[in-house]
Amino acid sequence: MSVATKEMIVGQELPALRKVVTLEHMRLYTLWSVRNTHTDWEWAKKSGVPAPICQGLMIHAYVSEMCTKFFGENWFKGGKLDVRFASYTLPGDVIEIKGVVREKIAAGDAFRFNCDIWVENQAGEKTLIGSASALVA
Amino acid sequence: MPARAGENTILMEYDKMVVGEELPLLEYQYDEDMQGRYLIALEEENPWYWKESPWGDPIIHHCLLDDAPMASVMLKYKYPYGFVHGRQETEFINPMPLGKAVKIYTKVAEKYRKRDKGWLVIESLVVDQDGIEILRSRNHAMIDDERVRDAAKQGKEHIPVSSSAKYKKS
Repeated sequence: MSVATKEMIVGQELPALRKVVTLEHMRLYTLWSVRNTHTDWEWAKKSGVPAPICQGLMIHAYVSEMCTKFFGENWFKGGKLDVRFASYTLPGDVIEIKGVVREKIAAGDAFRFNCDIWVENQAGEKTLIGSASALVA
Repeated sequence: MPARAGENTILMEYDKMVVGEELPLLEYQYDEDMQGRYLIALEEENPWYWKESPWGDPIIHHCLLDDAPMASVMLKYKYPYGFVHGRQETEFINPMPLGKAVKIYTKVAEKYRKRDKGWLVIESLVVDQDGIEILRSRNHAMIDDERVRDAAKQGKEHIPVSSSAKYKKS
């Protein structure tokens, strides 16, 4: 499943993902029975946001999905993810999860790949920015 | 992470939070049903989570674990408007087979001010029933005390009350 190899060089792109975020997904992620700014239009408006906003950790999980596709098993043994939520993701948004290898550091017989990662919405706005790293053996 | 509000929770205000405070210990055991909901919500099709993984049995999806800080917070504090999740740091230490029990240790790790707002860092360590470390996470949350107090006066706290997982407050 892993696509990362030691031969890859800085600048290598991670396998991008595209997700269509729906209110149904957001509600299911929040386990349906909860009414809050992540699931309910009325509550969202009361709290001053234009629509129910996607939980940051749901976007975080998409990023991890991309990293799992790239790093494979090593993602679960020493993978590190550090993200900042820069803007809202709303129902109907189409987002792309992307990454690129920024740095490759020798670590014994393996390399640690340090990557820049980000999420863009359909308007090209970055809604999440951060970094991810894991060993590539 | 199935979150469930505790009883007699108190208002979470930045100025009153103390670095080093240990939050309630959580003990969970996740089942296929719980994990399945998240996989559908995420459109996650990786068979490692539902069929078999490189480690044998299906493993737990980390999304059930990495908001542990908030689940623990909500056993003690109200989770009001004015509380914004701004940053998440996660370290994946080991995969964990689905069905194993976990203990989640959480504390207030740090406080800082940024752009005139107070930020808390809530840190959790997830350990399985055999004592193996699974995941460490740090949740940076902005708390606007003024907005929190105003919202509380108006009864605007939103307290998730949902759980189908087994949990125990200790």
